[in-house]
Amino acid sequence: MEPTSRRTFLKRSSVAAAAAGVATVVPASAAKALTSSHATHDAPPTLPDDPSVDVPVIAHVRDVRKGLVTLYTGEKEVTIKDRRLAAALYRATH
Amino acid sequence: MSSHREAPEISKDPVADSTDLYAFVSPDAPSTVTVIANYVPLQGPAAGPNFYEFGDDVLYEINIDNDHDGEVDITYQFQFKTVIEVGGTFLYNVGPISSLDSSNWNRRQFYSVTRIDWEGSPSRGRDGDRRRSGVTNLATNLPCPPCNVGPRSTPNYPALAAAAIKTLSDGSKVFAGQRAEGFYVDLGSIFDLGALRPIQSNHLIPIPGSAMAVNATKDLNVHSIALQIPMTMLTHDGKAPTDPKQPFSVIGVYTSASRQRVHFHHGDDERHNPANFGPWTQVSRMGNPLFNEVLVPMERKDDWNHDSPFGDSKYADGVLHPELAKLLPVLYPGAFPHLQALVTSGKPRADLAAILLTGIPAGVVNPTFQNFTGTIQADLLRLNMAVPPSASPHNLGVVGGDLAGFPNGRRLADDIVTIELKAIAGATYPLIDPSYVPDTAVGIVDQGLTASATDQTAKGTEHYLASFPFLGHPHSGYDVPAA
Repeated sequence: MEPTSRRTFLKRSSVAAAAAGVATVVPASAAKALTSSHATHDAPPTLPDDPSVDVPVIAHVRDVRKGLVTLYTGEKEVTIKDRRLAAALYRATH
Repeated sequence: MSSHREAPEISKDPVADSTDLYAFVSPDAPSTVTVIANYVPLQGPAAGPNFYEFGDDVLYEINIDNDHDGEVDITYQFQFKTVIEVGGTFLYNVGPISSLDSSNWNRRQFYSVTRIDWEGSPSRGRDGDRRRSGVTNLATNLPCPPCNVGPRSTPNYPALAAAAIKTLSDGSKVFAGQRAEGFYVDLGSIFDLGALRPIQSNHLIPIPGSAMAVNATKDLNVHSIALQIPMTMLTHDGKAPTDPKQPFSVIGVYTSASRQRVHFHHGDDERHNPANFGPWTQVSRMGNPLFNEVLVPMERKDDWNHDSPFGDSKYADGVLHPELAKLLPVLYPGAFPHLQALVTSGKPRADLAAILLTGIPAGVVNPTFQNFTGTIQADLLRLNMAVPPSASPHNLGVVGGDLAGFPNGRRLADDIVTIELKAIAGATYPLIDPSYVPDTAVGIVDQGLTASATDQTAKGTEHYLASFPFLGHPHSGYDVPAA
């Protein structure tokens, strides 16, 4: 069971709060995979063979310069710090 | 209003808008507490074809602090699901709805109830690493009753409503669905520069004579979530409270509504995908009536709705130096000299802080009564569960000498507007300064909707029931408004 107080269960929609680490931190291995796939255009990392991969994810680029990207899926929120990924997302939209 | 459309942001999101919260020792089952949280305000009964309902994308909660540590200890969560049963019709119902499983009823709602017992101790601090120690699914797929469409569509509404009262797996009772609005207020006069009709000739902008008060909510409906919970399931030690002097006889209650962080409007080809993403974030809350409405400045009301009650010290200035106390001597020239002097002195309104932010300490009202939850300032509806229901309820609650009424919890018929007007006008200041003499005018400050101190009808709210869920059956769309 995840450590959760009611206070953190109902997070405020505050950039500062998310950036300060209130949100879940993405595992380092996952972040690395995310970055490397963008950086090198290699074959995508292996994905699990289950329905979770079909669940949509919303990305919110909070700060391109700092590389802050928050991902939302289901009831989860994950904030990663990845300047390369943030820059790539910026380029894809401009 | 009590908390109907009380802040700019939530006024545009009715299904998540908490309007009233009641908590009282149940007169029909005195070993239990009834908590009612109302949402979806100001429903005109004639609302077809899309009659009012709860939000499937809203997380509704009733939260309990039972150990006074500044954290929620128990949460009841309610989530709704709407289904189309008939299809191929624009109608809410295609014939009379005679039962909750009627095949004539097209658009129905079901809901789940979950109880969360939050683990933790005060020593861990307000932002400590408490864990969800227990998640108990109390029920799934409970039916809401239909809205009260009219005598052809919902011909025996009391029977439909009775069938929607369910017993949860822990023995508590629950009901969720449309009810007649129970809160009464002369809204038109309050927000026309506080010109209470009975004393309008004394107003700064006078209109001669007195006028009958108007109950602005008398023909309207609301959606209620009602629980009747054994006290032993609410107390810190699991025992039934019997001594009003014991601190843990008191619980603090608030209701909240939350939405997921992101809402996504899909294109036509992706409507099958989920529309809401991310963790739940609070968009509405309510403890004491009128708190956000009257004591929080307009520009901070939306923030207040997002915040936890346990951070309410940052809103305390609006309680300690209420704007309305400054306005009353201006709006009624010469009527409030003592209040004017109190305001000018700059002394903080510790009486209002006790009523609304901490609870009333023992010995302030009488030697045995208290509903104090500690020094942490939080807008909670505080109920001393060891105070039994009153055999003859007084509309003014504690101010009227009835310790079973507001601000010791809140009952349906408590005249909240008059109580809080009187309190802000200085009626309760002698509790913390016995030398203070309230102005004579405090005695005539009354919104004028009750005929006497024990009048439980309040001009149009006569639909109260004698037993759970207490709020009356909703007004019928066919009959209201009347010809």
